[in-house]
Amino acid sequence: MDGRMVSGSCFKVLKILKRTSCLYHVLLVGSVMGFFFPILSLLSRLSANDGQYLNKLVELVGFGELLGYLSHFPSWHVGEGIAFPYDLYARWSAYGLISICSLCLFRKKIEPFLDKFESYLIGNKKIHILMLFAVFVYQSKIFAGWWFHGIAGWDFSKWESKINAGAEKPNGFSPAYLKSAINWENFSLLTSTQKTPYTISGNALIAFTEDNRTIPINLGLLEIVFPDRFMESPQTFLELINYKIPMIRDYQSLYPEHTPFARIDYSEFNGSKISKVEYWDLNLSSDGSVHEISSARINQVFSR
Amino acid sequence: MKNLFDYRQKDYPYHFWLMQFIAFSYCILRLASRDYSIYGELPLEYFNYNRPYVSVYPSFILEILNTHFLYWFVDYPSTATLYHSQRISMLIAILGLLGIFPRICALCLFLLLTHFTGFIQATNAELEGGTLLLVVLLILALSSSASFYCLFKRNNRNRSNENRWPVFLLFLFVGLFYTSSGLNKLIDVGPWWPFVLHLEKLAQVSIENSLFLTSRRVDALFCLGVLNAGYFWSVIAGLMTLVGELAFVSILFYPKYRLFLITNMFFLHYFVYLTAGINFLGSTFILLLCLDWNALFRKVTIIYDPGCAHKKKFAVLAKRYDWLDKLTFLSKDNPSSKNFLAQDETCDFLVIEESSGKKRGMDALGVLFHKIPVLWFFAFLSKIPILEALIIHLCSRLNKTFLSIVSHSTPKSY
Repeated sequence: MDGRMVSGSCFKVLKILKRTSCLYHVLLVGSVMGFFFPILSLLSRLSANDGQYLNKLVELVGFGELLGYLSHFPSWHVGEGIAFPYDLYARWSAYGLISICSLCLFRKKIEPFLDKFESYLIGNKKIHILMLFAVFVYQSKIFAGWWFHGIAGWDFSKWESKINAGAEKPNGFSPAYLKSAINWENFSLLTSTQKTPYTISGNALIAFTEDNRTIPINLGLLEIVFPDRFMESPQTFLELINYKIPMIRDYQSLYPEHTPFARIDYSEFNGSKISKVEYWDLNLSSDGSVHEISSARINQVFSR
Repeated sequence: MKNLFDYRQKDYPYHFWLMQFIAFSYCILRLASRDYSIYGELPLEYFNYNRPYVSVYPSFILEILNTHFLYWFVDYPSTATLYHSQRISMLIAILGLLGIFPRICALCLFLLLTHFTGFIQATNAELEGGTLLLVVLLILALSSSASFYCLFKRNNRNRSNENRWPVFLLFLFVGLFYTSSGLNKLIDVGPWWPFVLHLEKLAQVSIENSLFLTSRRVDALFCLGVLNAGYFWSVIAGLMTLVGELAFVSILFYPKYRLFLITNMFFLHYFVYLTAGINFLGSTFILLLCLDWNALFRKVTIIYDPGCAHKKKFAVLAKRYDWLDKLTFLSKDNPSSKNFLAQDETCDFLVIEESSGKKRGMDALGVLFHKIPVLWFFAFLSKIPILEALIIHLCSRLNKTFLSIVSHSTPKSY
């Protein structure tokens, strides 16, 4: 293919695009971006933090010479907690590719429908522009702050019960205050669904006040949608807890947080400062009639 | 699409007023039960937009769109600044609710709430269940000032085009929000989504987690019910969700099943809250706005054939129960009826609603059900899929006149 043929083809494509509607353009540009950017984003994640993740990948897979080039890819990701949602991004990219192919292959069939739709909406510029914006956001998977491409799809097929058959013998080490971190009513309810003795594991968060009183807490106290990442730094975690503890009684009294946590009765708590938080791993056992904390182990202590 | 909610028509302002009332009230509720000041306590390294949904593109794009580009030039705000910003936002919402500069209030609130949501996007999550509220606020900010109510002056109640298109835009965006969520299920998981949803597994794990107070808030009894219902009902619930979400955009052009789709989404949000501890319940306020509330206020002209005893009887009956004074009856022999009919067009029973087209047969009855309070029960039933046949049967048992109207649904000239 010589230069003249290439420029001729480009000219033809441009001529076709000139004839097509605004909505078609938005769909096409959005789809092209939606195809490329999820892939580029994965590369950016790999080269983030001076290639920290790439080094781990190279260790895991090999092909050091080939993958080493990726470390030069410009990254827009930085800091901890960068996920690699390769399955999700691959699907988005595939959707983008299918959209591009459909728009190009079935242009003549799609266009009349788009024209009709757009010619109706164009009567009101605000509706027209906002509709084009929504279509672009969906196709490109760009996150627009106040608007985005809809709630993601997920399923629970890989969720498994944590119940182990057989009751564990109590090991004797379980401070009394841990009992306040268990919902005993639900424990009985779960037991009613089990035919045989069982053990189940979970966690407890116990806060110690400066006058050495204990209260069970959970991350809902922070009123942050996904607060787990703030537990990684003990200092920050304790500061956040202490910032929120004076407001503990107003906690979501009118309308719950987007991801509400279990209700805890704080009516008798005096709101004093927290000096320490203990994060416990617990095992609960039941033989059908006796419910107890069979074993407990401190996972982490957050203190000043 | 003869039933399209046409934004070019004139309409009453009542639906728009309801939008204004619900949007500002919901804003007050949210702001009174949230505390954004904690973001002033977070170290800077947490502001890194690390969630997969928000970080496909370089974060500066999102920072421009959520107004966080401000922090390219100034420091992140302190807890006190955030606390006072939230209180000011509440005050603005109260002003908007009272109708004092509501358009400016809506714009300010849109920017402030988008900004608050920006802190969440930068640090820990994609959203906090307030997307639809932001959309309504933006629509209010773009609407004509004349459409808003004000509690301290006499408001214009005349029909206007300016009252109608914001409602259309709301239907469009709420429709797109749910339909795109349905499409995402097909893309992110696959068309087999209902079959791999496994709500019974979610219920099992949720009950187990609920033993520990560190867990998310779920209703253990409800989860037990879902667990006992098993896989079959999980598939049914999955299919209902998928169909309901994919079809949601049809609220724009298929009014008959609007109530069904909205109720379906309401139950979805409530079930998600009870089983997964994810709160989208506030969206149900916005979902309520997707019903055509002006239908209760629009007037109707009925052209009937006086030669037909059944139709004449129905006209007399309908007039008797027209307590809201919404109906105008015209015999087809009346010269005024010609204004509503095209040349050579004949009719036995025709209903012409304000802001809408001509309706015949079951569609005509559907409109009348809304206007006559004693028939509101039928209006409700007619919006439930599959029950249409039952209504016709019920109507025919009650009075032959109903059946005669339904049976003459085919126009002689249309």
